[in-house]
Amino acid sequence: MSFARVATIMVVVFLLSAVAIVAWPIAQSLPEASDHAAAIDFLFKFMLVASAAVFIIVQGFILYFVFRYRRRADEPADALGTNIHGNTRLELVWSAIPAIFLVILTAMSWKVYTDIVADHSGSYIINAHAFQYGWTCSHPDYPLPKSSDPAAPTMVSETATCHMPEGRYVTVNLHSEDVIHSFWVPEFRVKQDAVPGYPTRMHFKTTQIGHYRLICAEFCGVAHSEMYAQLYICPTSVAQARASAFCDHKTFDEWARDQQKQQSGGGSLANVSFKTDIESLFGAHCAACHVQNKLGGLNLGNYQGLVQGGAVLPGSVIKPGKHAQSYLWQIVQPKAPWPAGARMPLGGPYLAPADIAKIQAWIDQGAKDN
Amino acid sequence: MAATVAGLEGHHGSAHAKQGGAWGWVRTHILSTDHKVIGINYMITAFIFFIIAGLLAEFMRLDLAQPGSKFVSPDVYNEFSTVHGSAMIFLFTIPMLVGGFGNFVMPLQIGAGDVAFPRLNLLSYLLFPPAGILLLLGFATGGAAQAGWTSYPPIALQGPSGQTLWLLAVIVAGVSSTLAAVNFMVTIVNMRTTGLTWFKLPLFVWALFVTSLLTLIVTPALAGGLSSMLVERLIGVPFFDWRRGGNVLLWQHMFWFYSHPAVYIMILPGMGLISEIIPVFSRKPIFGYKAIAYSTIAIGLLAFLVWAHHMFTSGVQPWLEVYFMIATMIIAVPTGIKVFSWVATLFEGKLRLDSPLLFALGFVSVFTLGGITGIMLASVPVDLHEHGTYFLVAHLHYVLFGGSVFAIFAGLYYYWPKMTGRMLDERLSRLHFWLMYVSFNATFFPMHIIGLLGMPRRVADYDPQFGPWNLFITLAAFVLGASFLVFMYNAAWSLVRGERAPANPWGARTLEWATNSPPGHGNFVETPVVVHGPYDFTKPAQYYGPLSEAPAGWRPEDNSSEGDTDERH
Repeated sequence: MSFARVATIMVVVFLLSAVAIVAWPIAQSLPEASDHAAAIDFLFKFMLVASAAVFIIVQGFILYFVFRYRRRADEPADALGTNIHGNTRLELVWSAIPAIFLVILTAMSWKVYTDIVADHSGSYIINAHAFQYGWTCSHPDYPLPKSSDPAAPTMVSETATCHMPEGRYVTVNLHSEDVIHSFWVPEFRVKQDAVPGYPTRMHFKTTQIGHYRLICAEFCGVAHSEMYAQLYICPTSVAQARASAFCDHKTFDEWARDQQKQQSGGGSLANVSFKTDIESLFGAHCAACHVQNKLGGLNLGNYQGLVQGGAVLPGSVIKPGKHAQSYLWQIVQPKAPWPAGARMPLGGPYLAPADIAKIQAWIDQGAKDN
Repeated sequence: MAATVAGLEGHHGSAHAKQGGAWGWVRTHILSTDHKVIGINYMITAFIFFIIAGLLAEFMRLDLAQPGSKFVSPDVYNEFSTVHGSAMIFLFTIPMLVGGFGNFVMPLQIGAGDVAFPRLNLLSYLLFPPAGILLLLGFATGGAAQAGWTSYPPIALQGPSGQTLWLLAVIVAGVSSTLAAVNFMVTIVNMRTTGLTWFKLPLFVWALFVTSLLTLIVTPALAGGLSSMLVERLIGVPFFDWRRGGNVLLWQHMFWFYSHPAVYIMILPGMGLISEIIPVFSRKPIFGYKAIAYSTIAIGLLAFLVWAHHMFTSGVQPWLEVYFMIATMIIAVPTGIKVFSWVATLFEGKLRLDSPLLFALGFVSVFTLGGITGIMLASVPVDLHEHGTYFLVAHLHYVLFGGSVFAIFAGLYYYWPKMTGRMLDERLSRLHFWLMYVSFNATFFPMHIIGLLGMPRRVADYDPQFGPWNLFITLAAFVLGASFLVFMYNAAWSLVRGERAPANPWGARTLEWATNSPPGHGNFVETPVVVHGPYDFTKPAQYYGPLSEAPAGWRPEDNSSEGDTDERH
């Protein structure tokens, strides 16, 4: 095969791969749910096209040279190749072309990165608290009334879930008190570590209503692989909200106001139901540890789990009709003594007084599986 | 020349051979100060740790074969992944390339009788097995280190006692490699033979020189970090505990100031081996000797300036991240020069497709992909997606397995006749190459894809959507593991039945091939004289004999070469 023919084949293979890369719909494999996603995917495709060129040149020439210049059986064992020591012009070319490409790539990356770190005024603030092993998202825009319990949350907060409004710039203030975690939603294409003692933040605009997974991307201990939360981007327009099942047909604001009402004790305590009231409370505040991982052997995912209790505190965590003797009530109290020594949810944010009152009422009404 | 070579003694020389009994065996085989014995001991020890760390990887793959599978509990999984990574880096790749090949090959290549400080050399070897034992001891004392090979605090402060053993192990390994680095630098500067000027040095020696310089400068930073964490764990001095005024990110800077250059410590000697093998099997000079030598120096210098590209998601200031992105991108230029020069060396050669060349070309082939993904990770925005995912696992294995391990095996197949005096079975060697090349790519290429789709690294369990990919990866990883059995069988067969190796089976021109296989004690009966370059195949093999009897035109002073030509011994 002549050199010209091989070069032609390599150019054709390169053009075909370049077309395939450009036409590849990344968003179909992994949705682009933040404003950075499309920019980062473009950058990735740009690098992929350049990589295809380098890859084809290196692998192609290795294959071609091996085939073309292999020592044939009829050639003497000590036959020598051509005595070439180098070629200054060629070496300058293959140093300069990558250097120029890298300058362009760096400039493009710098531009995208500048957008990523840009702080937009009026963005929606979320305080994300990472802990071993879960996430709590708090919403300063939706405060709760002041309470006598100093440790009670001051704003709407959720554990195991994290809701965000669609079409808004969002700033996430990251916070950790135990080890390093990392806030990653693959559909956003960006991640940021939560570093103990060192506040960090990330900015993005939410672009696509949906249900995503908020993953921890920095190794954080035994249950690292179980550390995630369900992340919802909720509609901001009423029409879209009614048509979308992701946030129970609510707009983000409706969802947040419902939470505000529930967490400030707006509801009636006359007839507390396990299915509608208690389970959702567990889901929001306890599930990261006691549903996904059943830490301490305790499963708060269903009624039987409560009755079975855990390994640390054997026996049922509820005594029907007697809230003061139920572990479940004791352990969420603002004041010691707590069974097993620490207030739950471990490390906070703790349950709002309204939620504690709800648990108390449910136990006193017989702690039924209703 | 054959007559001169025949005058040499056998393997370990007569001085030690006279001692009988078990103690005599230990004296000649373990406590020998001969650089060749030390080099081979480094290799054997490192290979044992390679098998252990490889088995840990296979157990991890077994656990990951299916989502939700619990072959081992998550804490044991974390121990396996931590010890796998630490052992592969600190107990296999670095000791194999630097301690093993550096010791065995370098003094021979520069025509020296041994290294500058043979007893120091023995000490640096003797520190190496204890480092390995300390690392593995955790499994027996109630939990090995679990914090990953990067050992970030605060997670590393929480771990079991095995975490303290990990710190001690890496400190001991660091002392060992620092001693070796001093020794090698002094040897290369002072003990090059007559006529061996800097630009006549084999490229492996260049690589080892820059590697030693890197080791000497960056290992103290790691030792500082390790010692700080040790006193924090043992007596509670709060270097990293943020509640008491420590700084969590301080460790990351100290760790990566060492561990990024460590990547080059693991790849530069491998690149040196590749630069030896490709010209010999192409039967022509290496393309662009000086460009490769200078690019080695450039990579060595840039290695100090890029460490925080491992920390793009850690919360480093944006302007600093931009700087580290630019510095990292620059490294691609000298790396590209090396890759293109190796490929160009094949042009118009007479390629002998023996196993050393196959592994060397396998190295160029897969390392190129590792370099490409390295550029992707250097771009801060793209890294914000890929960091901490299986994409990174794929990248690092393309560099350290596709790079270092392929280079190590290229070197083993190349130097086996010189080290053992026996030839390997070439058909089995080629079988090993093809099994390893195919299963390596089948194991690690899909990891790019699952990483981009959202699978984080260092997880004992994962989202069920990645199940089929992981099953495929696990099966490929088992084939990859089995490919090394072919090598072990081949090696054992060769030691017993292998054909006797001549002094220079590959027709190379560097000095290690001018003496016996294996070389005797003292390496050379007469000081060898170097007149022409290491890859000048149009000239006969190096003149080797008394300088007074050297033929006309072979004296160093007859040769108008650059650099210093003063006699060194």
